[in-house]
Amino acid sequence: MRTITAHQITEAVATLCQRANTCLPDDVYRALTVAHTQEASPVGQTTLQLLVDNADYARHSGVALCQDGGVTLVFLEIGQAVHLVDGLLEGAVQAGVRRGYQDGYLRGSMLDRPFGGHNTGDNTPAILYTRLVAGDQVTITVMPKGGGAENTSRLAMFTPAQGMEAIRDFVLDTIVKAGPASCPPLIVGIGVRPARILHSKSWKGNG
Amino acid sequence: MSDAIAITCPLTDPSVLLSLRAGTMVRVSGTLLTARDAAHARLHQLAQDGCPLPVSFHNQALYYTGPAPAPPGFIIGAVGPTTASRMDPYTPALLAKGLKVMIGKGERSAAVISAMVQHQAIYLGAIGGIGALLSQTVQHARVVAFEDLGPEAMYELVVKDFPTVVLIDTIGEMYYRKGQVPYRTRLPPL
Repeated sequence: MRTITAHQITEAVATLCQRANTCLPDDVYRALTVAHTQEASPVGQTTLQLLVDNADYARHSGVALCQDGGVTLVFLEIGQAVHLVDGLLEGAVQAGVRRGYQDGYLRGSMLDRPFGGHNTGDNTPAILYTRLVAGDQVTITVMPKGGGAENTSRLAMFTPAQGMEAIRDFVLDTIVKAGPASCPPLIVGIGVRPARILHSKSWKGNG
Repeated sequence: MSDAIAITCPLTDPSVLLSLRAGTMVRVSGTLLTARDAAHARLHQLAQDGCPLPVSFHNQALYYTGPAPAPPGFIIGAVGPTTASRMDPYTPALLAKGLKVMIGKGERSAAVISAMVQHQAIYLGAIGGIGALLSQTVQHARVVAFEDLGPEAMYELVVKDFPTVVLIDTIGEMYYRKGQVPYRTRLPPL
């Protein structure tokens, strides 16, 4: 059993919010520099060079990589042997996002309600994903997910007869459609699962 | 961007836009107005009510952005483009009021493109994902309208060498179409 305080969670989330908004992950940074050496078009080369320059400048200056701090997704892997004290997990995470965005001069992009809402100013509420794992540690990952990533997400269902061809068509078409609006670099995530599992998870009792 | 064409906004002679074809890199200096969804809705409402607009759009450039707050010692925070198509319903009316240059990202509607051709305006693409770097091109920033909208207020930005590429030109040609053509053939056969 290990005791972790809500305050520790808040501190970690606040730090991660600032880091995630100012420091491009190493693998993405490397991919950009490699792409720059391989790009043929002058506009593409310029774009990739500026993306690398932007990453360097943001890391060095602390100015956010992008004005859009996104929807803050917080992934928590919580060891079963952890005892959380002095507060609730949800509140501790939201407090961390609030502090991280305010102290880091990050733009709040969340509204307090969907229709006629106002900007909450501190990017709360964040979305929490929690998973119980073995051990006595808490692993926290923060991902600021920009609107450009959300807006171009697409979902489709295929019949067996449509096969891989249809899936490939759909994926390529989605990328081409996303290209102009989503900001580079595009990192394409593809999830495929049998419809029955999707159904039973989404519509309990109807699967 | 060393081989980019330089323009200064507001334009003293809008005919300079006629030679800027889709795909041309353009460095913008001078004054940019900013507005996003909420500011466009306010402008639309003012026009509907027959009220004067808070700024003149004559020969102006409008940048679709909602900047991040300025950290201490900085003029402005990250200030990259937002998706322009959300502003499409309001855009033809602003083009009719003399707006000549729009800066954003993503596609535009057929109605906007036809109004651009009619009014000889261009749409420039700023690179999404370089908001920090773009903040360095800003020499001065002040709110000119709708301050209560926070990051969605209308700002006036004085910029130097703001990097863009022509996405849609005065004859309605689209760089997103033109630029995809040579690459489409390289996609694997389906």
